[in-house]
Amino acid sequence: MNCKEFQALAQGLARDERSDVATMEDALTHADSCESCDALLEEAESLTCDLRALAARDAEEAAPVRVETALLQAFRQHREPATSTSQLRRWLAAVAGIAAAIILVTVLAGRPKALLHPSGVATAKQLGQPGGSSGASAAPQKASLTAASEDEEGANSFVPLSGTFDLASLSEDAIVRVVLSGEDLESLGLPVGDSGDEQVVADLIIANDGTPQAIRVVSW
Amino acid sequence: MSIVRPITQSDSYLLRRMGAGDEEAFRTLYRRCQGPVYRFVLHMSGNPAVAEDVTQEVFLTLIRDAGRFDPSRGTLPAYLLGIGRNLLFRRLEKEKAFVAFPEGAESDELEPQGNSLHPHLVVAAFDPVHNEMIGRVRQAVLSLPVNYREVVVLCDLQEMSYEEVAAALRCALGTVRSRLHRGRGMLMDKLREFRKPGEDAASVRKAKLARNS
Repeated sequence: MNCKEFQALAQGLARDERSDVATMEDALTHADSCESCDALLEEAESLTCDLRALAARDAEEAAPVRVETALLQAFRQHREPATSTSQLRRWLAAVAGIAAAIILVTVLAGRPKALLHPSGVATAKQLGQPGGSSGASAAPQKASLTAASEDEEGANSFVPLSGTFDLASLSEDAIVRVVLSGEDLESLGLPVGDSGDEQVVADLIIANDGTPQAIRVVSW
Repeated sequence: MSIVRPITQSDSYLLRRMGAGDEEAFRTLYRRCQGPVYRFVLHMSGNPAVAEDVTQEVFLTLIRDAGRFDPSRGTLPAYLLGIGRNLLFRRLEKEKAFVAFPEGAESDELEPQGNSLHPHLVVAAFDPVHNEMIGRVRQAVLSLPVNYREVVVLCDLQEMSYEEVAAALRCALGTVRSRLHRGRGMLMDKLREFRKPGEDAASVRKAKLARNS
């Protein structure tokens, strides 16, 4: 190894950089035989010691606590707008959800039960005489939305036609608006006055088996 | 016997948590990384006030735009050091608040290329309680042209690997190696000038002892 090659390695050697053993041995052998290169290596090692002493002296140097305090404050301020935005989004989503639920409930509540339970819709003839042999002339009509709403509101105005009728079971049954003749009314066990020929518009609550459970007269 | 090792959360994990608004994650990251950033700026500028300001600005940058950190380009400390370096250079360019080293006879070939602030800087007085030798070394480091100074600071004072330094400075590994070699050579020249007659022998003896041990 010549002096130029040694000089290229001297700083690395002085910094304890890893190098292959053969190269290190060559370098040290050269330093032993060359006064100037030996001095260079010693000086470089001395520099390493001095720099390490400076690093050790400053090892505990750190930013003052006030920097951390200021940064945490800045972090909170930076975070707040994002948090507010996400909170607003969540709030709007909740409001939208509630609004949708209200609309859904309103629509469902407004739908006629007959539509919800189409199997429960029966003709007045069937209502009056489950066997279907009666000559009832009443024409069944599906209850209108308005009528259904009235049903909901005026459930108590229904007159039970069977002893087992229970208001609590109202939702399970169909409400059908029908036009009944006096004869039909009579077949249902209802009193018919002098005006027996007149037709009566009424709402009937029909059980799943098609039998009328309750009646409410809408108009004579 | 069981060995219990402390669980250390990775920088990337803490950065994600921080991005999600986790203050504790930010605090942990700050405490983990502020020292090297602060000391780097301190050794580069020699001015604790500058080091404090730049450190604060580095982490403010992280708060504002944590998503810019790309783990594939290096570690978080290296990334933060890179930010600190840019901020420091910008500040030095802007303020020119530093005082030229009195004996600052840098040769033209040692002038920093490309980036940067004025070639020889030194700062005002440092902590007077530091002993003479350390004071001289500090002063010698501060008098180096910035391109060499930053490599000496990162490699020899912060004990970072060549790879880490290359990532922080965004330069090639070979550049780090050659600048360190050159920077140390310049330091030796400066310290030789500072060294009092008769001091060399003690220094050499110390070095020999270190080498033999």
